[in-house]
Amino acid sequence: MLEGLGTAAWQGLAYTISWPYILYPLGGTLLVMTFSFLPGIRAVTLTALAIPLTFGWEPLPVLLLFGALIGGGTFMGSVTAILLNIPGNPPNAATLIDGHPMARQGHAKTALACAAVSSALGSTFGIAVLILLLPVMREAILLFGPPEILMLAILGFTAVTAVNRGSAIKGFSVAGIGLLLSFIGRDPRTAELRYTFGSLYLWDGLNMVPLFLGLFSVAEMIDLAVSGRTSISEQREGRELSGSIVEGAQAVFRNFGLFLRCSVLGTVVGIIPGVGASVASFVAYGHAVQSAGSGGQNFGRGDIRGVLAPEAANDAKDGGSLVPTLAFGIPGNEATALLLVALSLHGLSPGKELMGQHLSMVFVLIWALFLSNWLTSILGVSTAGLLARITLIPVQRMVPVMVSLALVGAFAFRGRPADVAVTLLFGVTGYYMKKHSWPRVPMVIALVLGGLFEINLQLTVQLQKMGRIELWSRPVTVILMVVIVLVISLPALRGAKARRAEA
Amino acid sequence: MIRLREGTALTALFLCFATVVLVMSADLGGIARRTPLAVAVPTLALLLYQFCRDLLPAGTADDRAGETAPAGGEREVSRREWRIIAGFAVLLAAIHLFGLSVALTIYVLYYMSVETGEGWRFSMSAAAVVWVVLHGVFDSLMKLNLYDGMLLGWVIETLRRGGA
Repeated sequence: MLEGLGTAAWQGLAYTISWPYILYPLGGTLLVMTFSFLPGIRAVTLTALAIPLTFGWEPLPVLLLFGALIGGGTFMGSVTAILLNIPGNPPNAATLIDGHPMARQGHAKTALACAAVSSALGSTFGIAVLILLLPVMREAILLFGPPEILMLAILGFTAVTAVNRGSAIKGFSVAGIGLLLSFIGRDPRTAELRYTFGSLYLWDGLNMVPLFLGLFSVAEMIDLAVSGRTSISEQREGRELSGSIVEGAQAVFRNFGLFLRCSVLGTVVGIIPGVGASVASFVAYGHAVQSAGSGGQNFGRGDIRGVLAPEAANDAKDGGSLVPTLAFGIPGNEATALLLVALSLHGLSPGKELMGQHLSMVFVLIWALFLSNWLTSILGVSTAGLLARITLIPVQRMVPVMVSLALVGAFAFRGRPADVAVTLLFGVTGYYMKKHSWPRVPMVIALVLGGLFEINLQLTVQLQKMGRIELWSRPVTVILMVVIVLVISLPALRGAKARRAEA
Repeated sequence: MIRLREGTALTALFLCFATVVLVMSADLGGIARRTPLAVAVPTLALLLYQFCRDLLPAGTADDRAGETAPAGGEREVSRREWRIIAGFAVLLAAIHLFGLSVALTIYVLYYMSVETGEGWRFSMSAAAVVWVVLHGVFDSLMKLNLYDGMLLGWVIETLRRGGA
């Protein structure tokens, strides 16, 4: 088996780097890097657009292109999060908590370099785990059912406590509001309509993209316009920007233990179908804050570990998310769902056939993913100085352009004009939330995890009632429960210990 | 003494939303309302507590954070905020009537020349770049069929029929 893996890996690499096929991952990566700067245009959008374009292609270039599109977009979302406080994708919202304060302090170069190195190494870790798991994929995935996914969603919610920097009451209430917003639309089990006010638009629930673009992109632009700041970093010349690329890259190796733990978290979350990268990023961020203990006062104000942790997890999940996709045809996220469509269009069936007869093709995908992750990171590091200069652009020039792009991005996602109105509405709400110290990130965490939490809660309760599962006899559930209890109680215990020591 | 602050309105808005969800949940079936109710009740309690805190004359440091006015004083900030929000309302109406590409191009031109005080040449160039990106990237390259708006859509449709 291992010999077969080695041969397939070698063959896959030879295909990937052969001329002219190497152009597909390179072109795909550059394409996704360029478009990721436009708010609302996510790697998923490009992947969806690539499907009809690749109808007549051979499977090999299709896999190379899709691998590049899936891998390339992950890091680029954090570039806009760090520089503009506008996360490219929901998981990048965890990066902006510390990344943007660093940019405002003039350390954008350090933050970008740290994010790039952490992303590249995180994705390599995820891919290595994917290769190691190829022979035992089935057993690994079957360990996760509704109770385990429910526990992971709850673990994701505990990040709310970690991202709360001001009033805890405001943080938890806003998370509650986020959850209530996520319940709008059809009930996941009974399909009963809830809180739609008779509007057809709300039948499918509020979409994340317009909400997200409103809460961050538009709100941030209103704030910049009102604040009277000259530029994001308040500097006029590039030489006035401090921070260094070397310092950012070194931060990953200085905190290598944290990097490894977050990569493991990302890979595990990626393997579980339907959980999503946001859980990985926020759980990793929460872990970084909680593991820092008393040395974590700087989190939320520009701590480099707050950039490193979510980036490692977010990129490590790419490799993990391919495990269920390739082994069972169960997509781990939206991008891998589109990959499945492309695979089936080209006569490749996931599962036994793909893993047996076309193993070298699986490796083509893996190598393309690896290549695009490294390419984005290398380009990210080498252009960090140039990218950091975005923080010097006069804000008054940036505002109308960014608002326009955000509105088009909101419309482009589903082609619904009402999404534009929702973006502006949440933009104004997001601005006042920022102005009056209502944290926006807990709302995003709740919105992302709400659906996942509800359906798995209902399924777990139902399965328990029917006697089909026994929570206490499921080792992964018990382990996750213990982790949740520890995550919630440790900061309180540490605080009590510190107070006793002071007394 | 009760003190009304701008931030209190936001708390009240969240409070209203949570109350509406709670009231509407009463009409839902058992399964559909279970989770929303379990979330709405504690959220409402927390928001009520926050609302009372907002009404107190001296809020905590957390409540007051962010309420310090940026450059220009509180009145100037408020004026800028209302200009932006009013601008958004007009932009939304313009998008509804004339479509995304026309409305957004005019918005960029207006903002650059009037709000930012840039020269006409720069403003026109910026608006042209936005128009090219909207049409070139989104409409032509990505085939996203940007929204034409009611009025412009009607004009285009009439011209098409006339041509046919």
